[in-house]
Amino acid sequence: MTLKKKLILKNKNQGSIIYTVKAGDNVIWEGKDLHKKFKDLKASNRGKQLTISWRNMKEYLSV
Amino acid sequence: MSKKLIVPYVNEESNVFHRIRRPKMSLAIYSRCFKCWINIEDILADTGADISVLPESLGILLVGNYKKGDKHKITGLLPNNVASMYINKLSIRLGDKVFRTDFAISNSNDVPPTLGRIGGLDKLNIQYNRGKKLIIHF
Repeated sequence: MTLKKKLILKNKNQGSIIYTVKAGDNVIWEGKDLHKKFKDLKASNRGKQLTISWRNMKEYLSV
Repeated sequence: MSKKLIVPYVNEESNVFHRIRRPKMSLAIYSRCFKCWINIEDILADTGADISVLPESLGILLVGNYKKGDKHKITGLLPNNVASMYINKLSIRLGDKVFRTDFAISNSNDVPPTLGRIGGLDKLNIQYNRGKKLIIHF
């Protein structure tokens, strides 16, 4: 099973957005419950600039 | 001499078109909760959106209790698709420019982060370049 499918099954009730957090160029976390993890991510990467990106597991129409 | 910021269009999947290019920009937003600037990538620059929108998870880490903001029912194209959103003012940094603007923070995580017109895109001088990039002039 691909990582993408595992994430869909694990987090199907948490919305469709998957977040990625990077410290510099390194990906340090990926998942849905960003607000629960961010404090720990920030603490363990003290002094580094954190960047959040996201992707939607559902296709959407922008109008 | 004025400064420019280039926002490239990004290839994505679409439920109407096989592939579509959308303008996605990077912003730094000041987190009241963590007292620091957080870079957020892939924010959709959406001239069709009246207001800027954030999903719940991002709203919580930027604001904390986002439900202290004014509550509004917001719809998209379809009036039956109603979402509860809470208006909160946030500081954003784009290039060298820092300004405060209202964000509607959704109680759902299904909403894509979007920079809309009011207090957002309407504060900028933007050139559209043939579906390839946006050029923001400061």
